[in-house]
Amino acid sequence: MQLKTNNIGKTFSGVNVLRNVDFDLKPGEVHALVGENGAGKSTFVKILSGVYTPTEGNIFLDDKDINITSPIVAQRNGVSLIHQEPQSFSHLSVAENIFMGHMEGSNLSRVKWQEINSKSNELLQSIGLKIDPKIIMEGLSIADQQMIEIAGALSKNSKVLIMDEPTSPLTPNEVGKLFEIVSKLKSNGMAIIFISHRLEEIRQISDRVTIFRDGDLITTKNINEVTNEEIIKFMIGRNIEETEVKENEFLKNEDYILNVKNLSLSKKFSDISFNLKKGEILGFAGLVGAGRTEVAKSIFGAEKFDKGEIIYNGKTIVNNSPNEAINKGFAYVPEDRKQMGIFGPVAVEDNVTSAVPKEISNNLGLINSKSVTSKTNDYIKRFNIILTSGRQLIEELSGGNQQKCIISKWLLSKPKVLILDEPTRGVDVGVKSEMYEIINQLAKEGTAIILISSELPEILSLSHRIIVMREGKITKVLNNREATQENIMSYAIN
Amino acid sequence: MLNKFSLYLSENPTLRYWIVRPEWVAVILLIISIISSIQLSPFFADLAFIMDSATPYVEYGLIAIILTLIIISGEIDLSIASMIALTAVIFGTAYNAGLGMPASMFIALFSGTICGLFNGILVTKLQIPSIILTIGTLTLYRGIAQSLASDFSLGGYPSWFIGIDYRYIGIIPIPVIIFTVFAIVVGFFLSSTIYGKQLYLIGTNPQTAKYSGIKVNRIKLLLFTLSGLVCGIAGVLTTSRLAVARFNMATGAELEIVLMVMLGGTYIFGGRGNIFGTFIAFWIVVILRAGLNVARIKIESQLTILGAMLIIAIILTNYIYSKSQK
Repeated sequence: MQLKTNNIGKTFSGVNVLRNVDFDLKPGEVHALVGENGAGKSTFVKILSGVYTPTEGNIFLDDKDINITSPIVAQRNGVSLIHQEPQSFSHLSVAENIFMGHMEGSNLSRVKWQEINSKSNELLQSIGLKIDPKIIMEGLSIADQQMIEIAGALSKNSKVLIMDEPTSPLTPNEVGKLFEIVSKLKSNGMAIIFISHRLEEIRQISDRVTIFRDGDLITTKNINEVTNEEIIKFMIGRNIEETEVKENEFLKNEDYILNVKNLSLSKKFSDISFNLKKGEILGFAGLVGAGRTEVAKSIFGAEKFDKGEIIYNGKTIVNNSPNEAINKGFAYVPEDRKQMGIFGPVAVEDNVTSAVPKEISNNLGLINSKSVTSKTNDYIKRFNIILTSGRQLIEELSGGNQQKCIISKWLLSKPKVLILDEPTRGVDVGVKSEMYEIINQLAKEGTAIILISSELPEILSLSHRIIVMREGKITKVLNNREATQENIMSYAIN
Repeated sequence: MLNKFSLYLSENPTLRYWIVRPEWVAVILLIISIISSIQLSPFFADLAFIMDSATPYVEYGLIAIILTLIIISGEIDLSIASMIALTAVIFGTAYNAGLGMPASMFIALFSGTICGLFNGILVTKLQIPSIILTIGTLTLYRGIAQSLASDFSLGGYPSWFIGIDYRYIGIIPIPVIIFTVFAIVVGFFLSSTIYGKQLYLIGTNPQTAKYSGIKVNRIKLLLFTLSGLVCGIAGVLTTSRLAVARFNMATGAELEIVLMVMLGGTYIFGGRGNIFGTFIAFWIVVILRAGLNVARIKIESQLTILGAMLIIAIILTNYIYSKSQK
């Protein structure tokens, strides 16, 4: 079956995340989708599989215009999505998982267990999986669960299989096994969309590759006609205004305020070592899931670490909680603003002063509301935060203004080491450049800054040095002069 | 008109802060209860009568004050009534074993504190949801009380100890004074200290609270422990009032206390509410109960009216929160 899309677009609350996608997929083809985080490839496959409905455009299956309004409609038309993390009912049997949603009942709708079990057995054997369909899902490896999801797709007579980063949770051995199955399905005429960040895998398994960037389909190429370097270039090739990284006098010093040595946390990151000077902005680049946030949380005391050492101002320290870290001079602006950054239905001024209880109360703990208001107003003025008054609820502000409030909150604590985790996510362009000025100014005043960002232009225009992480490990440390989007990306993916 | 008003409010956060408050619902309900009670019986305007009617509820009122703090911080303690019974029974057992009054009282308060600490440790260290855990300890503590006292009434206290509800300062019974002072102290703590403010932040978003350096677990542990201590005090007060301690004292009281807190406008999912509301809700319960008694409405029907009242309060409170959240 041939799948084609014409002019597909998607808009979320006014933001255009996907534009004019013309895409085609042939039977018996493995078609890889690549792009940075947020490039639009996940949105695109969610549209194909009925999770989202497109704002505009058409989807054609065998030249028939199909209106895919829900995952069930997609499945009935033969399009199945295999999730990155298998979506299984862990307390039900393998067979029940395979036939979930399309079991046919006999008289009085009784389940035909024998038929389901024997059909499951056939399907599992056809993809070379030796598992008893009657056992419970729980306890099976992620790889096996993924195969079972594939068996489920086959049981629905799927003709188009979409695999969203199927290899990222797998070991190399399991990847090999998965690829065997994929080749087999391909030779049987299945059309397969394959999303991955690993270019080597893409080269190994796919016939064509389509590159997405910033919501646009950039190009589709035969895999033999394009080099890895070219693919990377397509992925990042946007024009940005080049800004000079600002040097400051602190950087001439040789003393480090923070030395991290061999920091490890099982299954999250390992052997993370780096140094940080006062006044330095140290960028952390990498894909989502590379372990950057986890490293930051461990340094900040929000998560533990198994091995390694953190040396701060020459002394070995352990932060058992964010509270201890804050008292030592650390601050962390989290990636997930809504869940960890703000107190939504609470006044701006209470948000801004929430990390500095001692600054706004006397020895008995009595709050000085004048100081709460004046401290907040200082920052409202300094950062030009747009609101009606400090009493306004923070959730009523725009994302950018909320972020300015959170930065204000941490500056009140006068941090020596400031960790910024995706500080400009969901922030409009104007506020973004204001934020960059603030970050540069803080570095100039001697604050040591760790900047985690998935936006390469942001990393490049702010950081003095750049650490690139992939799958829990540091793959490269670049200084600003040698760093380009291309070489960062080549160390971030493989 | 209503929309215009709420738009006006959202542009004036300070005004909204004072107007959009659920405890006004409790105040209005209190006024309605007073007016209708006076309609039912002229005797009702007698302040001394109302004060006397209040004493049996003081033990619940004290606990409702602490429970308000716990619910604001996003947790709940349902083992409170069992802790009243357990501490009362321990008190009676200790006294009857010849330990003397001060030592027995100390043991009662101490055992209450331990019960609360146990709740707190399991909630904070093992991360068990407090609603599940305290349903468990509700049964456990009541069970311990029962095995200690069987079906006996533990009495035989000196006469100076019995009948704290008949001691007055002026026309005000001592328990009512204790309750009022306690409400004022805790209300001040909650509204004016940094610790009080942190309770609201924890209840609003425990994750952000943790990342802001607020010692979420330690504060919750303290609250549960405090709840146990206050239940111990309530256990001793109840024993004084009834002159005996039994394992089945205060059966079902946990719900009445939770209802008192909710009637006062405290948000069951945490982050909002205050002591003033709970204080007013206490008087609503007192006046309604007394008023209905005076009107000779059977005790069975009284529950229906209280329940209806609560539903109204919850609907209005929810409406107000949905408006203020916008």
